[in-house]
Amino acid sequence: MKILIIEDEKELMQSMAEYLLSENYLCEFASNCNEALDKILNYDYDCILLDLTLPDGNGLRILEELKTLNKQDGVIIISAKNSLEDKIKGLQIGADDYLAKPFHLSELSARIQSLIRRRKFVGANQFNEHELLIDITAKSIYVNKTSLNITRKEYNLLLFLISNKNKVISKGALAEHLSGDIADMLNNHDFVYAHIKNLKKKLSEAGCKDYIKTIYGMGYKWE
Amino acid sequence: MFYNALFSVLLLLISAPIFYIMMSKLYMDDIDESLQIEKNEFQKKYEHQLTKNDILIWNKFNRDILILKDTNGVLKNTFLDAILFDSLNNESEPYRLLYSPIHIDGKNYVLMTRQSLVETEDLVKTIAWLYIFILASLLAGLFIINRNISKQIWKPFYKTLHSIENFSVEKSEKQEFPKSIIYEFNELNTAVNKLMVKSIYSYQAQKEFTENAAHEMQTPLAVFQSKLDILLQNSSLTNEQAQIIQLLYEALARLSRLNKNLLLISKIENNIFDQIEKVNLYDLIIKLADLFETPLEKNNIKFTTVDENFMLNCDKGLLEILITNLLSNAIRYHLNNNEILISISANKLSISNSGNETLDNEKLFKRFSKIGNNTSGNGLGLAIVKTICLKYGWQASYQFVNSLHVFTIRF
Repeated sequence: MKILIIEDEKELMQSMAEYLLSENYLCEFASNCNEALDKILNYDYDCILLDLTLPDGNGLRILEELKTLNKQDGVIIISAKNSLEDKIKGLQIGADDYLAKPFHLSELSARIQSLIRRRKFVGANQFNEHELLIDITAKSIYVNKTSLNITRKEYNLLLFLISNKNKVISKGALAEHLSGDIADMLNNHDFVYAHIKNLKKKLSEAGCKDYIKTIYGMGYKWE
Repeated sequence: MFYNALFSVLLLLISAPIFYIMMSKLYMDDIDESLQIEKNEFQKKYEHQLTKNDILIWNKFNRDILILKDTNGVLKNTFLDAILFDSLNNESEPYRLLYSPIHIDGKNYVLMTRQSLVETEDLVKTIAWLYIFILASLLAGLFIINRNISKQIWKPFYKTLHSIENFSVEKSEKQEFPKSIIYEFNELNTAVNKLMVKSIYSYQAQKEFTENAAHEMQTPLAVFQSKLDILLQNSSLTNEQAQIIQLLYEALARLSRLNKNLLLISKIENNIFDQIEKVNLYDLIIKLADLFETPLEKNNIKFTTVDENFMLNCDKGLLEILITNLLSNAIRYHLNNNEILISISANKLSISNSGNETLDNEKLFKRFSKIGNNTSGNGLGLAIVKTICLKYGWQASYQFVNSLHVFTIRF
């Protein structure tokens, strides 16, 4: 899987690259519009991470160029602006997703995977993970071919954990993934623990091994 | 206006007796003169012709010039006022009398000439009526003229006042003042205009600053967060180090929430949210309450009265933010296991949660005002609620009733 990271903040670019490289993606970089245009002209990417505020112009230019070139690369906009207008405009021009800074790398990774999965599969979209079968289209989980009775939030939680396999995900990242903006209005993130507990119980009752590890009491990992 | 009238009335009241005294003195002089003339005429024409025997006949045919016996020894002309009985009118009337010494047949007599003063009374009456009439017309005239003049004169002033009352920096509308012929008002308008332009400018600058500062902070925050995420993957972390990371995560979360909220406020103030649509308030609250529901806090949101068909015309995103802020506040601060009560009725939404003591109403909706020692909030939630209300002309208020914190929005 090849990813192009277009981001002028070097440190942020490095963090993203490090995280994604360890998930076996191939990463290339561009730190301004011209570099980026040069790359998209010559290569195809599975996913492009696009910062909108670049030193030599608005990142939306790159989106427009992709459209003119009739390229099929998936694009996730990463913007500091978090403005609805940019979001709508970006999605209209052809971006697939929009992520506002600051974001968790686990969230980024999950979004990339979801994007790639969506683009790769036509029709039924399923994949296996240990003894689990995850049906993205139907939003359901099967353990040894039996359907698992889980809530929408538990499903999202499980998918998020699996998308960040072998990575420690902080409680905050999980909370934000589950409740969006509301997460930071809640008093604490104990509800994440409650959800994890319920999910673990349901998985073990269905005969699934325990792959969810608690790390330092502050994060979780799917192994 | 009042002083004008008072002065006029006083002047008239003081002048009335003076005028009367002057008039009556002139009139009296006039009468005295005519009495004198009559007496002189008598002395010239008749005094030397008359004999003692003629006196009786003279007195018989004359009414106002009589020859009397000198009983008191009148030596010179004497004027005096007297009330005499008038046999013609059959009543007593005031008279002006002149007693003068005359000689008939070598004997001393007194000539009495008199004139009725009835006309003086009439004069006084006439003067009084005239004065009342003048006074009344003067007051009425003054009143009408003053009122019209002040209306005319103060018109531009009231226009300016009205503009000031309607002025709000948030709306950033410059007010146009019509040119007035009055120099002072033009000065006032210029000064007010300057003040308005200045306020609008500072407000704009402050808004831009907030927005830019918040934007600029997003990228370093993102770097911070991503580095923490990377650090967390390190398998050789000690428990202690992990705890530090956790604390950093929490501080970072607060910082980015603060930043997000600051951005949000400046966006609302910059009218970024202006997609007006019809929103069903009840449906929206149900949807949001569902998001808040976690396995730990279940079903503690209860509706008391509900108008399920209540619709609002506003930006849906903004309304969501408003409700979310109120709900999260209620959830954050409510006492253990007590219900959060919601009521929607008669253009009004109330969200109540249990509490111990009343909160400072003044501070509550201000930015960064921390109430109590709870540090989990960032002091912007209710400020955002207020900003949204301000945008739509809604009213946000707080009351402490029956151990309940009640937040009410009137639409």
